[in-house]
Amino acid sequence: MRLPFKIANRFLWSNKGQTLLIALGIAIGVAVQIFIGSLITGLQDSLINKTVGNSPQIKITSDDKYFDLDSTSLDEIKSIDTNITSVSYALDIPALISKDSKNNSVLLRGLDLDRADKIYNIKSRIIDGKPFWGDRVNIGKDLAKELNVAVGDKINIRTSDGKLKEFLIEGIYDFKVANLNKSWILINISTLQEFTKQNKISSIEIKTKDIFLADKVADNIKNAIDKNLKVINWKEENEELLSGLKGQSTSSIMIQVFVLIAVVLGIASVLAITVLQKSKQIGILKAMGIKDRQASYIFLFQGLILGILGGILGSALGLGLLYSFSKFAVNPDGTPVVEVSIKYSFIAFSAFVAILSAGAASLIPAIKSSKLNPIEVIKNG
Amino acid sequence: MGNVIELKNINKIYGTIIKNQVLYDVNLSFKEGTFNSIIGASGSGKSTILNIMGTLDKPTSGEVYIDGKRTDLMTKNELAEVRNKKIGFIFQFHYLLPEFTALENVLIPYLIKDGKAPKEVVKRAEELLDLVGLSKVKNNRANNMSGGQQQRTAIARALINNPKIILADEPTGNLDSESTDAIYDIMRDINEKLGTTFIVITHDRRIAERADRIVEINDGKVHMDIVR
Amino acid sequence: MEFYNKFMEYLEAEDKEKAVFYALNLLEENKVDILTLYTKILAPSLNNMFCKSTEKGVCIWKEHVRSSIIRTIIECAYPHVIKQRDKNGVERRNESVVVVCPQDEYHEIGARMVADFYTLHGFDTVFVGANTPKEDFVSAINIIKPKYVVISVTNYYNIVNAERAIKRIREIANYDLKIIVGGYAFRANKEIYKNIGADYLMDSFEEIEAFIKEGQK
Repeated sequence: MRLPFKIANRFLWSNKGQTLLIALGIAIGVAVQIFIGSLITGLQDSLINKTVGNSPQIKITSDDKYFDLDSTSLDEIKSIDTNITSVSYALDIPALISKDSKNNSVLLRGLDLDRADKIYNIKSRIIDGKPFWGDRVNIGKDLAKELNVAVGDKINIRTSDGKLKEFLIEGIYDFKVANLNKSWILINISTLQEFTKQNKISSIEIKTKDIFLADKVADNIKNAIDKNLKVINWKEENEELLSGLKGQSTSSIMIQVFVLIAVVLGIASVLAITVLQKSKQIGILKAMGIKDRQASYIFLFQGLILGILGGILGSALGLGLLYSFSKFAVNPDGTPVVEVSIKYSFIAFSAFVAILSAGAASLIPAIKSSKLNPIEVIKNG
Repeated sequence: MGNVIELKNINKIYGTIIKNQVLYDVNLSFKEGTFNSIIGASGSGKSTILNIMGTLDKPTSGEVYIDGKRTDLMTKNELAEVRNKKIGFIFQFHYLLPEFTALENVLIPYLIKDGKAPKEVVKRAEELLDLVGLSKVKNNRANNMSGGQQQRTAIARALINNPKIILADEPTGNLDSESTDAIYDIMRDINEKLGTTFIVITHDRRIAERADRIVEINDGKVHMDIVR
Repeated sequence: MEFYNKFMEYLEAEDKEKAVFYALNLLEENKVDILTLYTKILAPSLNNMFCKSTEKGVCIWKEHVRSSIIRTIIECAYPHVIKQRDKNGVERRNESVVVVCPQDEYHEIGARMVADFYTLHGFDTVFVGANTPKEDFVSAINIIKPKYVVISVTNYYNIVNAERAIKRIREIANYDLKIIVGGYAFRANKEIYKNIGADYLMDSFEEIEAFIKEGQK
């Protein structure tokens, strides 16, 4: 093992230009892989985050529209699955809001601030004023703009069954989704219950640690609670998005596989040429008694050394690319266009795959050199 | 002294469709410690005989004995071991590894055997380089040496594992007459000092006429076998 | 032998003058005949030169000096050869012998002695010389038409050249010609003369004499 390694090393370093070129080839492959992989993962993460990150992943509702909340059951629900991070409850009442002559249909969302904050990050979404409390409500920034109201202004809210009340705007939030910003009015649930004389709630909202396990968690909840209640998870509601993401992942994997194939072919062809270049040396080594297996190790080691070199170089290059992408490809406000996710495990995996495929690529030349007959070399001078 | 190499009824035919017989019933043996030369026109089959003796080539029929052991039936790995331990090769085109220094080249047969060379083996390699007059260039890369120096390195390399037999195919084939004499003197010196058996294919009469025995190969047969 | 020891004294001292005069005086004073001079004094003195390996270079030089002394003696002995042949009453036969050393063979003293020996026995002897390329003398074969061609080989490598010369002679000669080989090279290779196409191997003057007598019958 020692001698084949020594020879492999020397063969590589005796032709520095060629070696560096192959290593660079592998490195670029690895870098592209890391870059594309991280970019797509980042893209998908931020997309999912935008879609479901600041909303419950599982909702419990009832066919009867409203149902009773036994307040102890919230903790019970939480204990159903360890993946559940927070549980909240809400009463949603559709209403109309009028300011001057304008009427807008809105959704009154009665929430428990502390519980709801764990799902919606309400406190950090407030861009002006303070979170709702008592009679004071939060409205979205688009609605505020449309109604031309600001913190401290009063608005009239009328429910569909005719109840009317004036509320004070305590704060303006931005959920970064125009639809929500236009329609949701956040309000303390007990205030809302009192206002609408409705003591039931309309949904229990649940957030999970791993959002992709939401369907499993939902199943567990379904089995544990009252059969009259419906449990829906975000995956059911966002099937189109998910299949879109899946297609993207597949194409990203395809790109990575083809990059890998290109790298493997590159290494294989260069090493195959090296076998020819070094056939004289291999022949003489065999005449001196090197065994076929040892002779094949020379090229296997060459492949592995190139793989390791390319892997390290490629990881560095990929990281550099990602770093500069997140630094220079930015929105006017300085936030990156795509929040790339730098996962070291993925980078290590890419480098490892490169090393492995370099090893695999060197198999053909290795076999070729093990089959080389010294007599051919010696005869042909 | 016994025979260190013995060929019995060796036939060699190349090709399967168009058969080309290059050796016909060759019987040859060489005594231990002798200095022999093989001469013959090109294409006579002398190199094939040497390659068969060196286990690099297999006879189509017949038996080959190296140091008393039959080799024509051995596996590739067994043959590699025989070559490594019992036979040293010197070729016309020196065939050093150009990526390595003279000293490293000399050590390679030992490294094939053992992976790592202990101090005393390195010292022995240095002594061998000294013996062939190369101690000054021992750390030169092989491709930074003259033809004569490379060939002397090849001789030192052939000797590192203390082989019983040195097989040389035109060792002075592309050297000038001064280097040829030096190479002959070194080989003869080793033959006398270490008792290594030499079998040297040569076109060079200066080498042939100084051998203990001349075997002339002609048309795949031993044509003449004369001793001094 | 007294003469040999005396002669060796001069030879070892590389004293050409004394050595040559001593040998020629032996002939002139009829103390020895040609055969005795050649076989008992000159040949042994050449064969008995031992070299210590430590002084190889000097030794080869000495060998050359002594060879040159002996060559001079043989050259000068030629009148005595003729004299002795006539004195012995040997009849001139109408047969000739060609004596030659093959290409690259520079050791010619033995061949010269053999040539004189055939002269003594009444042959017309042609000594062609050392290092004779085969083409140079085969063309003369069919003109001289010798009964025998004698090829002398000292360095055993030149057996190879002798074989080539013999092959060429056989191709050219248009009559039944006998080829005799001899010389130091054949001492260890007694049977090889058959392989190289020679008719006879003769190792000593006695054998040559017996052979000639056989041929006379």
